[in-house]
Amino acid sequence: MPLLSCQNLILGYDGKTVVSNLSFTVNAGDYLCIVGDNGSGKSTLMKTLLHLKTPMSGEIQMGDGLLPEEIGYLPQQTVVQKDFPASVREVVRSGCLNRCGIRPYFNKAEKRAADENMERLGISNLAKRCYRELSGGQQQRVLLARALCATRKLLLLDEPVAGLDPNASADLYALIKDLNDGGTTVIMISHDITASMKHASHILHIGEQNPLYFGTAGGYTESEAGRRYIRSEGEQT
Amino acid sequence: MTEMLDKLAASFQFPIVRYAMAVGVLTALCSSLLGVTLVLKRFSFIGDGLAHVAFGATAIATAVKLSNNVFLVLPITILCAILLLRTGQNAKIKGDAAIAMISVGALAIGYLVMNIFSKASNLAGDVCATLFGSVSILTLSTTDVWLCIGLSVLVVAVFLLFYHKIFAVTFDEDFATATGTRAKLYNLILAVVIAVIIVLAMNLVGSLLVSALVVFPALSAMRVFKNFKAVTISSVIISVVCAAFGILISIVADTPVGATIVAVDIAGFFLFSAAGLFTRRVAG
Amino acid sequence: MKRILSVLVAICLAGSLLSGCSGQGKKPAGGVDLDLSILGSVVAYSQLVTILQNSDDYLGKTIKIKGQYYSTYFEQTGLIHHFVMVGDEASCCQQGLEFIWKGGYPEEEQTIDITGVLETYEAIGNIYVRLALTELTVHS
Repeated sequence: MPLLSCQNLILGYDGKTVVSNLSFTVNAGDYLCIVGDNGSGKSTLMKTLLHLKTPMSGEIQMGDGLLPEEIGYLPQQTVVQKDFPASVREVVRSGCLNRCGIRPYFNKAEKRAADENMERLGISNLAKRCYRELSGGQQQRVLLARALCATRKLLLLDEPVAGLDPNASADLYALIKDLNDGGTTVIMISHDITASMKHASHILHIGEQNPLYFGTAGGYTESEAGRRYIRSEGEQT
Repeated sequence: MTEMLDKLAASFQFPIVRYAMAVGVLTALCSSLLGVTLVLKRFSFIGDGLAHVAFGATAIATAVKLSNNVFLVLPITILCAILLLRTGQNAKIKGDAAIAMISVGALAIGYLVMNIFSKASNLAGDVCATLFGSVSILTLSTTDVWLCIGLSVLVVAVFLLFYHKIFAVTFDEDFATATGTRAKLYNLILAVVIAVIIVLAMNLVGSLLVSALVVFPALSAMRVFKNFKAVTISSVIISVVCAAFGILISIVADTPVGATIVAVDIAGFFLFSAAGLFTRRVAG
Repeated sequence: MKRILSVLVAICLAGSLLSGCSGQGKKPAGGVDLDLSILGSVVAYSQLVTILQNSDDYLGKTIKIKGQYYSTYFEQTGLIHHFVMVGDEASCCQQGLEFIWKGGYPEEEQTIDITGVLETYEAIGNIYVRLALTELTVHS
């Protein structure tokens, strides 16, 4: 049973449709990259999957016993966060909040989970450091650790390497691939088609109102949309 | 020096002075607790906006000759706080414009109402006093003090119970909602608590200076401290100390209470900024 | 934990300030119950406002006040009424208290120290509050 499946989604805002006839499925263990031009609706789609926005029509189904609370999210950073006085440990622990319910404190298991996730992403030594003093790459790893505290099943990432230098980008991609190999399903919005092609198992290309392609990464290079996009991206770099 | 101490001792014989100190300290404590969240959410000016709303509501309550203003002022302020804070991101009229409209509108209407309906001989003084609060804190009854204590206990309890939720919702509301935390509910609770504090603080420093009470201790704390817990705790300590000092100085030096407290807060801010610069230089 | 502690301390402080030093019971030397003349103008003004707002609680008490002397003629009573005005430092607000004195009255706007007992009297169908003086000193 697929982890996530969307049928005939129509997305938009302020009465304007951005994407229509969107249907795709994600199975456990997949690595899906969502690509497309700016304004094509990638972020809107991600926000809809996270129930931050409601679709204009269509259905989203979560299978495999996946609760809405079991999705981890790595959003684009806001201005507020860049200047926030919080320690790395405080930020990472906040990911466990959805397990707390009414409880006003984190229990031992949650604290341990936070420490383990920091270990996994190699930022344990930064635990007491102030979040705003870290480099872009380090901050993204902190947010990724936070996302992992919220879930181990499904991770949604919105342009995780935006603003990072090539080394930091490569490191982050490697980390994400590791997580995927470890069983976490990944859905990622990315502008970097080369990296997407390297790691992803599936590609969803949306643009010009209708989805242009959904299928395996291998199939994408063969498809017309794929070839056009890869070539145009290649011309830009 | 002894003359000052004599004056202080004599003043503290009077209940109104003791009440002023108690209410002052408690209000400073509550304001600073939520000041950290407000400053970080870029809502610093909401203290000012809500204070103007409270002023308008006070004017109406006085005109209607309500026995205790709080019964009208508190609900109206809470309503406006919810309106402003909840519709922040999705409003047709964006945050700062909405606050400007409500804030200035309430101030003008309040002044109009006081002019038309109030029979007080010293209208300018009344307006001045409500805006600057120079005497409202020194004319409290025991009921006022108990009300303040009750509300303070409530505010502190809410803050302690929802500490982690408040952090999550301040740091990243989208993430909190996406991962299943009821961010909208906690925002609502925050809005109500903030409104309660604003009404309290209006008694202390008057409408105009409420923003300072909410904002300065938080900013001072953030100059030096690097994690949320430390910032919150130090913000409270700074606020309480500055309020206590401000009240003591105002008693001895005959200055308006509200403005003196803010002056001490400003001094505290410069002190902490200097300390922050120094520690950064030392750390290299 | 520390947070809870500091909060408790603050509340205790507030509570003790309230209940603790309630030295209102004993009558200090000189027989004056409330001496506003040694207070700063802000506190003196506020205390006078409090007295007038809760005059029932203060009737019969001996009060000493420092302020400025004013007098006005009221047509309704056909008499001159005498007041001491206490203003807060910013001169944003002033509060007056009427008094009667069997001795000579000072000149307008002179600073005076008065001591007297708070009482009520009736005039033109209303009850008013005033201080019946036992002492009046003019500041030179």
